[in-house]
Amino acid sequence: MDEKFKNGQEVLIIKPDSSRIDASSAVQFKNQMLDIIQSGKNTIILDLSEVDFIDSSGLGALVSSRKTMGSKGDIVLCDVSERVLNIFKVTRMNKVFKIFNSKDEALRDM
Amino acid sequence: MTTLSSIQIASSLNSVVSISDSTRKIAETLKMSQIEIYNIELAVVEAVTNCIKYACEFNSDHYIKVDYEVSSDILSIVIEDSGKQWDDFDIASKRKNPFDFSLEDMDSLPESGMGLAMIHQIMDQVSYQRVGGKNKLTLKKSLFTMRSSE
Repeated sequence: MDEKFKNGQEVLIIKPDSSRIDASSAVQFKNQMLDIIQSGKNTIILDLSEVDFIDSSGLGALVSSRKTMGSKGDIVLCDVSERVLNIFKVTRMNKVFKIFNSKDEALRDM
Repeated sequence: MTTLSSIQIASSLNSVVSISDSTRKIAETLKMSQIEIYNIELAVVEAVTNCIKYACEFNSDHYIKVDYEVSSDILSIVIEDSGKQWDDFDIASKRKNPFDFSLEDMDSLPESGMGLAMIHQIMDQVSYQRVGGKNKLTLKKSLFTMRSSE
């Protein structure tokens, strides 16, 4: 995890180090995200550059995190491979999450 | 009909990665785009995960076998497991599409129940049979359609 400040606001950058967010890891991933959100972090950039596979369980964990955050803040994604981006398009989740090409681009938007 | 491969695993979520890798390697031999390869891999992972969770109820004494075949430009993937019967396959297949959510209503975003809908969205045909005390889920995809859309 990496913390940055933009316009006086703390931005947390989380980079999962596993190449997969699937049924075998989604519960742990979701719990970690919920702990972070409940600790008060409300602007999160999720760097998916190391992730090359997400299934419906992984997507569910992301959605659950977004719902827990609610209107208090935002979770955006960056560095999503073309393969992984596909699952967001198939499920219309690319309309739910803002997706940026890079961490810097995401930070500029905040 | 050409059999491409057959893989068997114990019913455990930790074993799904081996099916995922094998599916990707098989799809790569069929000259699909990277997106189509991911879609086929995803459909098989979703199907196998459903078997482990619902049919085999996380009991690793059960097995899951995946057979890959090609015939007349149709890729057929048969997923067999030794778990309990999938009684509501037809009902589950006809449930409201979880991806028809409202962007204005965050509560409508799905957190689960997306696997079978994804399989239906990706594959051309999805059918289920109970044969000899085993579950058989058959996924079919036209390779011709995929090549035409590249």
